[in-house]
Amino acid sequence: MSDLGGVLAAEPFIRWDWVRDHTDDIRSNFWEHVQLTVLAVGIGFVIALAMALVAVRWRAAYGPLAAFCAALYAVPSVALFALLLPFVGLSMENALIALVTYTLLILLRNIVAGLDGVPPEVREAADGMGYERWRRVLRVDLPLATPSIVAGLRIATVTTIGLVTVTALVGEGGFGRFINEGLSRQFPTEIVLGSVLSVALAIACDVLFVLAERLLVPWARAKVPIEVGKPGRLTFARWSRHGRTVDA
Amino acid sequence: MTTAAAPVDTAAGDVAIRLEHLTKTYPGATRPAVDGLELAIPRGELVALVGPSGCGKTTTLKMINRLVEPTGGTVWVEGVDIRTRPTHELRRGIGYVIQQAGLFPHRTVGDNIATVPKLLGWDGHRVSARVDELADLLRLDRGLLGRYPSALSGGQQQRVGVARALAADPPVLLMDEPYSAVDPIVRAQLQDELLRLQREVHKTIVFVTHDIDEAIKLANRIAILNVGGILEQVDSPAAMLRAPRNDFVADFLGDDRGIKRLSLMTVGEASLSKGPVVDESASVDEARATMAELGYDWVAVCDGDDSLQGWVGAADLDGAATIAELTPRPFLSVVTPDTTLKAALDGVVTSRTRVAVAVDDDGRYLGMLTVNDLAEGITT
Repeated sequence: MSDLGGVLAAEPFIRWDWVRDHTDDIRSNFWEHVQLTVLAVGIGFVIALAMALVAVRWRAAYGPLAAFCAALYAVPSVALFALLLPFVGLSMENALIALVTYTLLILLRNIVAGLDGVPPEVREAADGMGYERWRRVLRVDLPLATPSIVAGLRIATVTTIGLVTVTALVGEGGFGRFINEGLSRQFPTEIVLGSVLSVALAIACDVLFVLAERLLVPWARAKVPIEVGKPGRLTFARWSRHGRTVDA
Repeated sequence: MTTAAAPVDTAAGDVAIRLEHLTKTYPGATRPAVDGLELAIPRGELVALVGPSGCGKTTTLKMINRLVEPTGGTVWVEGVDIRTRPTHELRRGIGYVIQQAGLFPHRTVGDNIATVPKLLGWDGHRVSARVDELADLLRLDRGLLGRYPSALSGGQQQRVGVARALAADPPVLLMDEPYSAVDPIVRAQLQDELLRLQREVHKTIVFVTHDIDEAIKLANRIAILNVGGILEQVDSPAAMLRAPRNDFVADFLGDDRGIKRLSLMTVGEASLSKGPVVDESASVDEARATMAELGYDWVAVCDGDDSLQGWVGAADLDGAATIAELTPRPFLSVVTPDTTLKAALDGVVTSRTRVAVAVDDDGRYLGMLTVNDLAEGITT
């Protein structure tokens, strides 16, 4: 590391000519980064939604499911990649499995919180009108849980975009490839480029989610209740303040 | 336990809902919430279930649309044992209105009203025509149909809740304390609207409330329940106020039962006194004679068409020859045949002349109500 320090002092932070010569790499790493993120969050969402529906139907299942996801969440990412090596080798599967496991806790908690937040009188009215159970969940409960679900997706996506860079260790990585190479070649331009692009992607995705939420939740545009203990913008604020701990 | 969908005995008349030995004991409870309730609800009537907290009135209501499953007994709706029908089908045929309206916040007012027709698979044209029809029936501005419920006042939300419950034209409507969350002024308006609506649609309505005045105002029949779902008395409001069966019912009706009965009767139903009244062409001596005869120190004045002009006091007569020379003072409380006797009583006790003067819709004098006349109304 002292070597790296010396090099970093001698080298400029960024060499624009190098960046210009590697636009093809930037493009391919960008797509890889997006692909890994979308797949990981997408698969994680499907699994978390299934778990949430089970948890809402059979309340007793929620504790064990959440504990399971929390345990996965607590495994250090570098260790998880290594642990998966004997089973899936250096592969996209390895990266994806690890990334998906880190989305589950956040998504599960937000989906369940959203479903729990459906006003009881609305649920009772829906039952009284003659909705079948599954139809009510689909047409009433899930739409009303959307703000909380989107909040969960935002956190999961931003987290995943950061974690994707670490998957460079197992031969994937998106923008993480720049960082990995930069570290091994002691070339600051790549480290800076990989980091900045990764952060920029995270911010862009976050903004996209805000816009998507406005489209998905037109009824709540006028009033955005921010209450302690309820999911919403606060969830992200809390999460980021405490690093990798999730708002309960 | 009967499971066949046999028609209930119809000899008892036109019964829309029959509760037969209906019992509910919640898991873990030592006493039943509703215990062997027997109640027949005639078609087209509004029956209020009234009682203190814990009397099982809401539980009873929810057993009719199976939001609560009975632990014993049977509910017959339109002659069918409700257990023989799939729950969601049963509920689509029963309107349901709840306290906070329970509108779907993510759907527009129009889509909220369209809920049950859409569940029943009506085509789009029929649904939107029905939504417009209901908006008119409930006097909701059609401009509100595209808004979300959060943009509506509490009273408007409650109207939408009623429209939604009526959307598929169910014969039976269940209303669970629908007006208890709105302010008293709006509540009174909504109650008046429900009475108007009921005159148009003639639904069988089961109405749960803890407010006995609301029940007296709205119901054809009141069922008073005691803690544990014990039915104490079922009767028309007037009959119940006149003859409460026991102390519990009497206490629940309150210590102003007589006054409450006055709210059920109108001036048109009461016998009016003629009162001290003279034509404006009368002489002062005639007016004095009328006052003396009836023991008043004032006299009402009518013109040639019997149209009420006001009143003059004994002291006003000094120095005049005929009533026409004087300017009568207006009566403070003038009532019409539609006015309730309770409102008339208010006029009697707050006016200086201690009477409420009744005129018809064209302002023609009909007679007067005194405290004695009102007392007569209560005791007969």
